Amino acid sequence: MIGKMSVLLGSILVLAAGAARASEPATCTADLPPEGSPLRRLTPTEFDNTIRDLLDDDSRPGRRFPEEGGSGFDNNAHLSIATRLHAQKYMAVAEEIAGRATKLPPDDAAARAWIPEFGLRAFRRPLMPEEVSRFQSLYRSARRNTDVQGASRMVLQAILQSPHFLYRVEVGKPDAARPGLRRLGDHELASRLSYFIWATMPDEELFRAAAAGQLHTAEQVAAQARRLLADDRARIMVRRFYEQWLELTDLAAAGKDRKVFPGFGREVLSLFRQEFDRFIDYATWESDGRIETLLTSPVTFVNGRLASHYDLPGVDGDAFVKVEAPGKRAGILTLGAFLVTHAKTTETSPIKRGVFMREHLLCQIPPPPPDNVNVKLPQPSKDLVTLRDRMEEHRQEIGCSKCHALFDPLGLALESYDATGRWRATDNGRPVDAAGKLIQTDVDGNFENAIDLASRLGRSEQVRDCYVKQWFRYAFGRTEAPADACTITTLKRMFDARNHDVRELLVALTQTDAFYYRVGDQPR
Amino acid sequence: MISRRHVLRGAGGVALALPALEAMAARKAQQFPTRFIVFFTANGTIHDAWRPSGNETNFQFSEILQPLDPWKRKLVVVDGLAMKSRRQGPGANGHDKGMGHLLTAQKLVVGPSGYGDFSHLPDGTAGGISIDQEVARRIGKTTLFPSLELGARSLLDTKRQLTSRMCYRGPFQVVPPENDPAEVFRNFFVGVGDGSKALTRLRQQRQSVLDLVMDDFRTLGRQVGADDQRKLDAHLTGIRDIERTLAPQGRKPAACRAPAEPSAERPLENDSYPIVGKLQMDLMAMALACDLTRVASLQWSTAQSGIQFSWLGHTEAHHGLSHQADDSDEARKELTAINRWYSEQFAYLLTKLDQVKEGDGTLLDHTLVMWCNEQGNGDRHTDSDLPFVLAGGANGRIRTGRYLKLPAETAHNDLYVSVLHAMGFPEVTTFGLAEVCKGPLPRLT
Repeated sequence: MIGKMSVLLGSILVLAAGAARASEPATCTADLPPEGSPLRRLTPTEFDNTIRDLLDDDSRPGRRFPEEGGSGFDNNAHLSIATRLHAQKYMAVAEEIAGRATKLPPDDAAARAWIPEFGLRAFRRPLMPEEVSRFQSLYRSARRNTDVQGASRMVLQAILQSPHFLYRVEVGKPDAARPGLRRLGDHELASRLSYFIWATMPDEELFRAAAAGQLHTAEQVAAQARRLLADDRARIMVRRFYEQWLELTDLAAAGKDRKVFPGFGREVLSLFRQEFDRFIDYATWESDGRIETLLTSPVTFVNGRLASHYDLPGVDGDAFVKVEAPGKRAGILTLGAFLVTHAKTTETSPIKRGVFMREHLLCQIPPPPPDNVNVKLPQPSKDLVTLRDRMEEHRQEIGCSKCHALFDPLGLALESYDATGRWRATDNGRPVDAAGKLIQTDVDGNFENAIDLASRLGRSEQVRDCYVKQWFRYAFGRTEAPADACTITTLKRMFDARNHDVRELLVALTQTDAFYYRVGDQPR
Repeated sequence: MISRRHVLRGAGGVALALPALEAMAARKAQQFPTRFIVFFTANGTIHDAWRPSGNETNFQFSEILQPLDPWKRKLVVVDGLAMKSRRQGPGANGHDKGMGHLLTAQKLVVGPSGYGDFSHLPDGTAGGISIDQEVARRIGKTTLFPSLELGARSLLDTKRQLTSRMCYRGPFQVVPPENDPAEVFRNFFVGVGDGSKALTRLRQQRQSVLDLVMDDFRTLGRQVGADDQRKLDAHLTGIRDIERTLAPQGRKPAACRAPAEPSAERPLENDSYPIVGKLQMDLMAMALACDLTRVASLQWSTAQSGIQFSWLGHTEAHHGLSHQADDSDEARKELTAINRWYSEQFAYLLTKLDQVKEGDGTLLDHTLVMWCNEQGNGDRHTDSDLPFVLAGGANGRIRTGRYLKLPAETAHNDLYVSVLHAMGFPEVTTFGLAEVCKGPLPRLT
């Protein structure tokens, strides 16, 4: 494992180590190999979806599995290590699922045919003859004590606990043209596509294409990727990406102090979730799909209750409708879901919001606060009315202004929104001052407010590069390493060439060598 | 390797070779194994309100530990430990370091993505095996489950695995806790060690299924590279651990009572914290009484705990409060109340253990319970003056009823050497980062 606190780039900002190391190489030739891809185990969500599609069982037992993840996404393969707890749960869940499975073979002859048929879908590739014979022999020995159904259920249990089901095993084949690399087979590519775009197993069409040897070339893969992206399951995947990137997984639990925000609770939080999903769908699929739209669009979606929370006039009833609130709303950073989770229970948190933008939007890591930092702001007073006043006073007091100049202004731009996501003109009776200065980016300069800041970020190349890296991490289930520099560069170029259309970036992720080859884990 | 516990159990002649006092204690307790429990609470303490007054044997509790007064004779307050290992190796965030070093006493390892997210190591990991897993590695083979990891609300922060997790089999081998009592019941108590015919049949079926599954893991393991093989091996070890639970069990200990199925609505929510913690302690006590395992941990929350103690009337979450401790009387008062509440929970666990009679003593007498924290002072993230409390006699191997003031800056590695001695491994000289070890704690045994 590598990775160290890395270059300082002539400033106090540190790029995330992976990001710094993956800077563009002088020459990016076609035969630079990608980094090795670690073995990936199905995430709880992928497990649930796969069981749904494999057995028509939508019980979603994955919520009982231990939570997993690292570097922000729940599919990080480096940290995905199974323990006894996992094995216990896989066994318990396999028994429950097998116990209620329908469509089991009616007799022994049908069972013989069922094993390779079902095995193909469960292992997402044809079974090898010795695998078929081992499951057959489990079936035969089980039949001595139980009926056809009982024996089939035992085979099902064994399949659902097999590493070939629980892991996305990729072996590949040597490629004479690319020594040292192994090219993935058609079935392996089918799984890469379906788990990336749908978070589930391949569908019939992918199985058909793989069996027919028609899932091999970049063109064939791109065509299938576009087909998958047109499906609702892609919408759900994209929402899940943003939910993790924007750290919204705890949205439902983002309660506020009842004394400060009476009436705010579960109801509005669940409406925030719906608004968020609608907005992501809109920005990705129904608008021009550009990243700038995601960061700057004045559009959002509200129903009567949410409109009254936001104080937007003219919307009644339970149905969500599209509204435009120019001057008040600009993309993901002004959505209630983001604002409410990046705030304290009693007031906003410009520091949290600002650090978030540096780290997640710009891929820059501010240095750590000293261990003995006093985080208590002075109480509001005659001279210190607004949160901005109190923060400025505090910053001078403790001498942290150098670092805080990096992120405080970004967070303060969002002071026009309170801790529950409502737009506000005043803070503690004084007009909100949301103006500030953006430094150490490619779009430096003064901004008036959040709308202004969002429009700067929306045209920043640095934000786009960071965004590409976030998708790389999600798509490949790992953080980028030095050897991935070419992949990242290629992705950036494709993103540029397609006018920064997010949908095209998703296709581009299936078009780099990293998608077709694996290195590092050679068979012995 | 034959552990000393086996020797004590098996042959009186060998016991005679031990020093007279220890041999007497051992004889008295010989049919009851020594157990080990880790009890974790986060964000440091308020030392003025935590530290007892008085001397080693005649001392009075301050506000935080006051609820433990009934247990004074069965515990040792350990004052003066420092996480010296934390001063070495990577890591910039006090909670990453505190949690990653807490039970491993070893330098952290940086993950592939380096630093991020308020200087956490987003995919970093602890650098070694944790003390609970080390004990489990040594004694866990004799019970159905090598160890039991429980949480009350230890939900993984997907960007902060280090601050979220404390038990490790080694680097990148985190052992997650189970936060849902109903799942603990299902996975550890239902059908385990039951001799009924239906369950015998179920066990046979499981065995034949797992035989095939393990074969799959072994075959695949031979075909992949070293990193992937390690993953498959870890999984296979997990399956082997459950396979052991399939063997027909001998007679259960007399004190073993099957627990009722626990029910907690919304187990993972903030306000369920007190009830979930209690249910987990009930299950833990019974798992030990039934000898399902001899090593258990309860991780109340993650480090940097965001629990809001609404049942104490608090409106601010624990971590936010902890960073006002040095500056605000009000915050200190609330933090004292939080830590006192945890004392009450610790007292509850000791009560549950003490209610289980084993021979002339109780389960508590045969257990070493360790209450630990990832910080000293939570405001400044200090790594010294860690607030540790040990309870239970560990089968007479720990002298209780004392307030032990250690020489300043005693490495917490040395406490873990003592733990291993108390668990029956007197040959151990170091744990974790060897260069800071000086040997077992003086005056503990």
